[in-house]
Amino acid sequence: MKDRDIKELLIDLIDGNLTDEEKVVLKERIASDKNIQREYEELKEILGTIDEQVEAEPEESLRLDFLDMLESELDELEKALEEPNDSKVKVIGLRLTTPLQIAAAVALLIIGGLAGIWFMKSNTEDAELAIIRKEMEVTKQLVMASLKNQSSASQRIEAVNASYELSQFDDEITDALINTMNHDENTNVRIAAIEALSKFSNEEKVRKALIASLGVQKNPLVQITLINLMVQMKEDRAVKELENLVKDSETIQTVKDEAQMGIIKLS
Amino acid sequence: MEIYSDEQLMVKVKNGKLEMLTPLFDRYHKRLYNFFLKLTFSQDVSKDLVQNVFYRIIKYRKTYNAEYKFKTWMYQLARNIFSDHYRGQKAKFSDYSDVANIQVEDTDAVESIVKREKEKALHEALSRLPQEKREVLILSRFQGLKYDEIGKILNCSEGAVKVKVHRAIKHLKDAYFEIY
Repeated sequence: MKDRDIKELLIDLIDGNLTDEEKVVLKERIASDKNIQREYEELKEILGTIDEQVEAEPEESLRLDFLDMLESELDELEKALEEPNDSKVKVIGLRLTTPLQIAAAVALLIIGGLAGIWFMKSNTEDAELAIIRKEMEVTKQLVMASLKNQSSASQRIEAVNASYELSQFDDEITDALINTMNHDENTNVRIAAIEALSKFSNEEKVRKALIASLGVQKNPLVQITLINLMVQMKEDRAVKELENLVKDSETIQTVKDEAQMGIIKLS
Repeated sequence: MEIYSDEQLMVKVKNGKLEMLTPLFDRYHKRLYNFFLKLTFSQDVSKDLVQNVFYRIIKYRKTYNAEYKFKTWMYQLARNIFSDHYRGQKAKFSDYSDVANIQVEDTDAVESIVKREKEKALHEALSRLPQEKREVLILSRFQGLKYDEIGKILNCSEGAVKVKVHRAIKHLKDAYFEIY
């Protein structure tokens, strides 16, 4: 073994990562070579000094500050939950549409059910498959209806989450989700749509829409969700959009930093 | 006794149960504090940065992906926070100069002077390392993370981490024996 290779192994020897055979060879070299012996002793000392280090104890005020911060965040969250997202006018609008929505949902269920029966009767296919298809169809219709309707933010999030039940890629649902991601007025709904879409990130259409959305989103939380997703997907075509984000004077610093990290990770 | 895993707790936080962050704070704040302390050599700054990590965890909770280890995500946030801080600081100071002021917990009265001297030399040597080497060394040797865990945080392979750590140790050793 060359000196350089020996030196490479010294740390492994100290860490106890070598086989017995390697240990014997290395110890022989250490005993016979002054240079290597010195290197070994020095490494042992520095690593020993590191191991002796005791973790410093932070002051108690760190924990108290944390609890303070947590409390004020909890207050804020509570306030946000108490205040309805939509204005009064919308609430009235919602009341008016509710019976319609119920009727639509019931109608869809019946149609779905009938479709299922039709499937069962007319098809020689496996009955189980037909049931799955029927359920998928019903779910799909409900998702589409709620996303298009003037439902409340929480109802729209529910609809987006219902789309998870669809195990297969569906063009219409995808379009509806993309539309929601880019145009829904509520941040949480947009984020939910992004998360739902990420399930189908192996579809080229979805990937392209997600990349393009980087140029559309203005809310930092949504921007960061997208940036992290790009890194997760290892989508290097997003680099250009990320660079635009960094350059844009309207982008807040935290997002710029995330985008910069994203660029580094992707390129 | 840990009833919930880190990931289970974080999912609860993500879903709005912010109070579930307290057990995570209790598990990790000391480690994070020491992580920042070795990077900044300032107790006050380290305290602020730890607080910042947990603040960002709350703010960005929706972006947490439960398929990933909480620890990895937390260290990624911590690194970002440190580089934000470092960039802000760079304009003001050329480098951290108050290494000698770092307070090391020392309750043992008979602890030898030699040990104290060694410790001081170690901190001095650490401060001479470039940031990247210092960071990888802290994660691996001071925070006790495994190579594959560090790889996930830094987004590189386990093998690459090992090479980086070994290089950093050698650099540290050379700096240490110049001082000590």
